[in-house]
Amino acid sequence: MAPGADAAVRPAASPGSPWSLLDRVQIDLGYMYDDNVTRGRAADEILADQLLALNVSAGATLRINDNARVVVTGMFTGEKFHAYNGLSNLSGGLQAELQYRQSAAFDAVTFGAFARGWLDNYVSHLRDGGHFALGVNAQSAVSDRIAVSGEFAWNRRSAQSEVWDLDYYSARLNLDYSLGRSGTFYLNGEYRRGDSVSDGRPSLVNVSLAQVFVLDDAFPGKQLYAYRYDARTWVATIGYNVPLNSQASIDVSWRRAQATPTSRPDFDVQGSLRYVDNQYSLFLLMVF
Amino acid sequence: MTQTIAFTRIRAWLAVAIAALLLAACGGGGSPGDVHPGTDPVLVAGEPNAFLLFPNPQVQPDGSLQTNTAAYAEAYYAAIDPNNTKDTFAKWKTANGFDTANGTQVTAVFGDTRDLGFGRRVTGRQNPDGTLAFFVENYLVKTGGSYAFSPINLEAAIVRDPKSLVYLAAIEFSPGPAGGVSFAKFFNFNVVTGVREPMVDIDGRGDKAMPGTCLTCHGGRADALTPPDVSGKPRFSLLHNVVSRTRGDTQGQLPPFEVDGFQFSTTPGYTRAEQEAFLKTMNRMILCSYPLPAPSAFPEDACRRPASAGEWQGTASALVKASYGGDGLPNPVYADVTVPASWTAAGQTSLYTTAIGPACRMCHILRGTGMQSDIDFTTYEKFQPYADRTYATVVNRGNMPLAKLVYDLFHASPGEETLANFLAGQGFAARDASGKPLRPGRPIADPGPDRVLRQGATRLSGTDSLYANTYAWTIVSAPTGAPAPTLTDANTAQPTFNAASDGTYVLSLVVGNDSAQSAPKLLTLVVNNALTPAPNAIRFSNIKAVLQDGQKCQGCHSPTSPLPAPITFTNDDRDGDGVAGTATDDAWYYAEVRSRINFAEIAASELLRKPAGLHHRGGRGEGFDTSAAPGQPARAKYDLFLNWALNGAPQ
Repeated sequence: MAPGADAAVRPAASPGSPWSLLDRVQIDLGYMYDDNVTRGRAADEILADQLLALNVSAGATLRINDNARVVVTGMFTGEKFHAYNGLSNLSGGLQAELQYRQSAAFDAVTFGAFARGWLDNYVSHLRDGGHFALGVNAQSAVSDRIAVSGEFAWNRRSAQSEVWDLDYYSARLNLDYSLGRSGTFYLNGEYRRGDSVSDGRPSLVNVSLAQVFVLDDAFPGKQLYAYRYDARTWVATIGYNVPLNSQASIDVSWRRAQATPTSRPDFDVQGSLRYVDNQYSLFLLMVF
Repeated sequence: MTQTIAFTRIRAWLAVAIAALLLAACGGGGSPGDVHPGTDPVLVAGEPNAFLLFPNPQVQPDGSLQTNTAAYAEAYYAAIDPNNTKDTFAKWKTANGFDTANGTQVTAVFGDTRDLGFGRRVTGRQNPDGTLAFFVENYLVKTGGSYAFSPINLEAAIVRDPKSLVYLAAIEFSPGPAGGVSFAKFFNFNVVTGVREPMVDIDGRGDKAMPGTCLTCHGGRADALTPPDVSGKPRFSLLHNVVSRTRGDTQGQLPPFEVDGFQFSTTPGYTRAEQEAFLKTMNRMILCSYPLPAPSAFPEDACRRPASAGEWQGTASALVKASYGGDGLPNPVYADVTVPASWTAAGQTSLYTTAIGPACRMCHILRGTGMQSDIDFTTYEKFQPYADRTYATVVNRGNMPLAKLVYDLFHASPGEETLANFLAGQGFAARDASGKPLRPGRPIADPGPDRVLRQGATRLSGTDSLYANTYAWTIVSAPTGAPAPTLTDANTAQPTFNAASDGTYVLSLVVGNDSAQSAPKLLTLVVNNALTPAPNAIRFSNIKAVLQDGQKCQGCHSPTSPLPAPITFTNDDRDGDGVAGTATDDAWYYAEVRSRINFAEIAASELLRKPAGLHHRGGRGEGFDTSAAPGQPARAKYDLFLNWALNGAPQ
């Protein structure tokens, strides 16, 4: 139930009509502290920052039959960084998802296949471009308290700089544990395999790992180079969602990511090649 | 009706979604700042690109540059290692005693910021028998873009990153295959296989042949090969002024390490303080390879052999000594010398510190002989008469400074300004209309030297023009009353001039390229139908007759001369078969003389400049007065040599 996640409350289509427009609108407003916005590996490459974020999503649903429907969701996000404004961005896009549920049974699994695309506009123009993802997912209630979902996706990102031309696969598993009126506790784990980006000094290690690099315009005066490399990335999120009323909730979470290059230089390297990033967030979620 | 509207809206949503997806899938195409590791430096069209190539690359009749061929390198290796006992790096190391108990062996690691830009790991060895050997692992982390030094290269040298090891060079100072005195030999080994290789790409600008790519800045000569002998293979040239009397002794030297020009790491074990002692040990070794022009009681000179008058005089030893505090090398730390007194006295301190020191000194200080040393530029008085060649090579041709990095650093430094000031003071147009120093790359017309010729058709050549692909020849003037001369193919590099009457004709050549036109350059042609021999009939025998005219040339250019010259003009036993003056000897003699013609720039040929008194210990020869007009008796021999060279120097 993290910010930006699909709202749990999904009003049904009007009786007799196969469609509903703007059947849900969700607005997330929050704050995040990120202890490694550069995704840097070495101490002198790591920069921390904090940001304010706004996510707005709105969806429409087309009922196909009793078991299937198409959900189209429009998404808009904005992030404003405090220290490194180059990372500030506005993004907007759409997701179309075909959902299928075999029955109306409580524990019936809902399967989905989706395509998602959005455009990014950063203050750092090197990052400007778009994302595209294709994937499948499944979600089910295990009990009246526990819900699980999973997703596998292929992701592609294109940008002004080839450094952010990324290609990777991701697999995600989510567990929601409801505490009733007290809220929902959730765990989320994600594994990504493919391109990743870090910022670092123009060192031999970084150049050896890099497929392509560029002087990063998001950190002026820092002489940091963003470089793309092939990596295994683990992302784990633990969070708690506290309902305020039927339409609003507070969400707090801790997200930890670590990426390890899939290859090592041909020489001895002191220290780890892995980067670790922690993000601490507090969001207000509103559903209309 | 409601359902129709609904579907229409849904389709609209889907259309927007698809459009967004398509847009998101569009690639950015890359930014100009993107760098792909592993890519070579980008070559810029129209910029000078003849680095690490001898100014006289020995152009052959087929247009090939002999010093830049694998055959040249193979002949060199055959001369210095006829039995291939050092044809791999491992064999070379074994032959030179590396990693054995006796002798002295040290390794230093540094960044070469102003030479070739590599991170360098140099291992030097001095054996008990006095022989020296150095091998250099050169590390370059290729990051595309411009060619420049990067501290990452130094990092690569420290960790010995195999992916960044681009060049494995070796130099040994040892006797030739038949023994004798030691001389420097240059090797290049494949970084992966260790096999000795004839070609090497040092600066990402294509393969160049050994040893020329080393000799350009190691003081040696790259004369043309001598023709095939009974072995059927051309042999490396034998320089007549080398003490070793060995083919393959190019008079190349071991340059000292200019420590102040290096970058050092802050990594423990690789700091400057920790590397200084190793570098001083190596500089002391290198000093041992320098001939000693006068007896010395200082211990660092005990290993040096006496210099002969005809060879290089160990000039760089003064730099080494001064940098370590003078005789005795008292200082443990290298410190670059102050400006030599000559330059200060001439008011040219700035020229020395900004241009000569950083961009010229290290290569030139390894040049010259005891007979003629002005090319070493150790004094302003030696440098100043080279103003014409400095202008030609630095401002026009762009083949000096002769390494890409040094070239770039020079043109980005105050040295460019100070040199322009010097050249302007010498009467050369060294600045453009806006006052900026001129740089190589602009079209420059060169219709060839003024000359005398006979009536009839004569092919002219503007191929020595620079950075040009269009040619426009015109006849400016002709003798009054003479039949109008003709100029066919006037828009080509090689038009044909045809005059039916004696007299002086002036032509003009303007060349251009895609971006600019040159200033017109005039060519004076003196037509004299009584000229003997006719220019196209001149053969080597005519040239030889001048060279062997009594003692005018042979007085010095003889193997028995007390003032030995780099080339002999006597009929020697050049092939060593015990008989002097055979046809083979003569063919080799011809090759040696032809070798002193620079077909890439005829007017710069030593065969023309030396007898004309330019940087020639023997002064100006009779008949070589270039201040006289073409066809005048005072320059008749110069005209003979010039016309022979312009006709391809046929045998």
